[in-house]
Amino acid sequence: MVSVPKSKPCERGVKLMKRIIRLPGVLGFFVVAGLITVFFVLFLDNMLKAGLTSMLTKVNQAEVNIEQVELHWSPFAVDIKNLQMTNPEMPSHNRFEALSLRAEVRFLELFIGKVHIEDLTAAGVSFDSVRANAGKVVEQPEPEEEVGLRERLGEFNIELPTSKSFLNGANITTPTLLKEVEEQFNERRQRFVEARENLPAPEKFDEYKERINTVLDSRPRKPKELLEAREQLNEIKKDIRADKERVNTFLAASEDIVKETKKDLAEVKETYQADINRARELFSFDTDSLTELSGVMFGAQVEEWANYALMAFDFIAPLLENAKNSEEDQGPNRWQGRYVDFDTQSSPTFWVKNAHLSMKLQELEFSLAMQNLTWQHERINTPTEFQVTADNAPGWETFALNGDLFISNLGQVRGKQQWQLTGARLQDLELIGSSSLRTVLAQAQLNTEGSLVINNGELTGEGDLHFADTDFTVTGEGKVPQYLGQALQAINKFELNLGLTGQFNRPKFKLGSDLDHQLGAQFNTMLSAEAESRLAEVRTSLSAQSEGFMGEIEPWLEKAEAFRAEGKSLDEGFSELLNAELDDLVESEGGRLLDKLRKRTGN
Amino acid sequence: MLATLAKLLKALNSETSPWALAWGVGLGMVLGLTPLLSVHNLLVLFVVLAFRVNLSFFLISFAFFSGLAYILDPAFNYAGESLLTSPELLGMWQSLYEMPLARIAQFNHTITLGSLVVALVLLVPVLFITRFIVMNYRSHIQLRLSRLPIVNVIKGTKFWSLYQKASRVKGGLSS
Repeated sequence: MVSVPKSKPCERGVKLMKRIIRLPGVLGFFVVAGLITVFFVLFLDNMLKAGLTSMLTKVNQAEVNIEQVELHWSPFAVDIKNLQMTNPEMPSHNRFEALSLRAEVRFLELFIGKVHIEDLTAAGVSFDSVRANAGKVVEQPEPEEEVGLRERLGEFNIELPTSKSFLNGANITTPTLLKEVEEQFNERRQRFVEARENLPAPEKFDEYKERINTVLDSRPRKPKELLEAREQLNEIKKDIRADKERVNTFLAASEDIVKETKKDLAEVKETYQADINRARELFSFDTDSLTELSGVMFGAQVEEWANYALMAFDFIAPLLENAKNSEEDQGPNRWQGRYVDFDTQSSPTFWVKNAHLSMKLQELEFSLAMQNLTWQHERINTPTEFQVTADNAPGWETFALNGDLFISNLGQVRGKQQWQLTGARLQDLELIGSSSLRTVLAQAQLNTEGSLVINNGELTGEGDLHFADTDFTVTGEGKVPQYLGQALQAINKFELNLGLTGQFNRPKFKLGSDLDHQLGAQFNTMLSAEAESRLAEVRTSLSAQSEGFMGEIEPWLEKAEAFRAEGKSLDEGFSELLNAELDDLVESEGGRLLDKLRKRTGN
Repeated sequence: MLATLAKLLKALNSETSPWALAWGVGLGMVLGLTPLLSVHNLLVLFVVLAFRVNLSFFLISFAFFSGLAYILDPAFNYAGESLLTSPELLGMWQSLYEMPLARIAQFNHTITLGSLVVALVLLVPVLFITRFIVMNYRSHIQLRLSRLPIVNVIKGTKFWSLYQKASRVKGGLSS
């Protein structure tokens, strides 16, 4: 009997294992897992770089460039080199640039949808730096209307208009009126001459009087003689009436001509005076118009400083957007799902516990430190606090800036900030950099302090900037730089008052200053003599233009009045002749006959 | 595609264990229904490769259920949301939240959890149904099918030669 060798238990176990387990498969799994690991090791940095670039571009609404991203596993950290975020309002510049950025992230929190950064450090941070190439803009923001420097300075009337520009301008009316009036005068004068040609000569009156006297002196006694005398008188009266009619026609025509000419003359005189008054007004310097000159000069610079002072909010503002978004995301995207938070400690979704940013602003090294950067402050019951320090600053005596900010679950923001800077020495600070006008604050000492409060997202605050020992340099073309330079030379201290309002992430600035009043007084002194001189030029020019006409019209009016008086006198004389001579003749004859009757009756 | 189909038929018609085919379908369903880049899918992949699970059925199942998952994501989201916000389960979720491995598994993501739970619930029925279908096919349908005239036509096509080739490969995928 042949015995069949029985397999050993271990061999059976191996066979069973081989029936169940696929060893090449196990090997294959580890090969696949290894390949996946190698893939991630090799390409994770690039994938992370692409992901970060895409995400930041979406947030920034303009091109974001990252030179390199490195992932470190122990401690888990992300290193970013040369991060540049294009300013969508000015694509040639970066709104933010960091030479290096390191974030130490809590690894396990990432898997449950939370970003907890223990330490965030950024070095070489700068704002508004020039890009090598203009960045692409995803969505162009609405451009803000900007008024050109020349137009803005024009509003301040620093440069007086010349007498020539005034005389050639549209505001002056005397020359035009003179031309119109002169044409009308020539036409009226012609009409007057024509009317006067029909006027009877003054001798006519004597002639008629003599003829009437001759008739009366003939003493007609007989009825026939009386009838003849009456006929002669009627004949004379007929002639007188004809001449009287001509006199009346002249008087009527000349009355309108003289009246209209006098009216024109009065209008010319009135217009001339109005033009002189207008010129005086134009040449006078209105100090009230200078209320914004300090804004033109310091506005951009102070706004830049204020933006630096509010830089902490630039980092916090995007968090508020996240807070709003998370409020809006109450209904999650059904296709993407959501992470449900089971954190018994209620830690925030995004939380930077400590952040340190080293930045360079105008040759000065600053350091911005922030703690508890998040938009879910109610979860940690602590506001985001920030401090700006400047360790290596030979340019001032003391500097302090700090504040805090708290965003509630409803997305309402509250916070405060205060700053104080003393003994800052400013040198060669360009205020206006136009080719036509360049204004530089060559040197000054600046002290500033201020504070602001944020309540429900609305910002209110003010700051004072005290400038002392100022020295300005003004260059450029035209009179403005000359006047401005002279005026600024006489000023050695002034104050600027900065008002802050608006949303905390979009602050608005308002600038007030006693510099405007000081400049106004200086301009007034400088420009008053010049204004008088230019007014005299205008007066001379207008007088010269009207002199010829006025010299002609006034004597003519005198003559016309004389002619009219002569006409009136003639008219009255004719009327007297027509009435008086006929009555005398009847009365004298009646008297003679009565005398004769008395003698015959003996009475 | 034809080669895959040929391998599929070969596995169906071979002596491969019905359980191997059923697990292929079941695990392909788990991989297909849940988000691909999840830690539990590493486990699924390990099981598929390490044990004698039929890879052709696994791949076909994975492709089919991946497409289905896109349509079912809202339902998974709803299921996950319901589970994760259930007051009765809150204690368990909070405990899991403290466990690094659970965090890595992204258990608190609504679609991940919802799809995984649905897939696991469906896994057992799918295993048994698939096994039942395979066994019935082999005992009743396979022979009848081979007698059909259309099958004789198919035997003259390129597809048939591919099938034959797949059948000759020793220790093929279905082994």
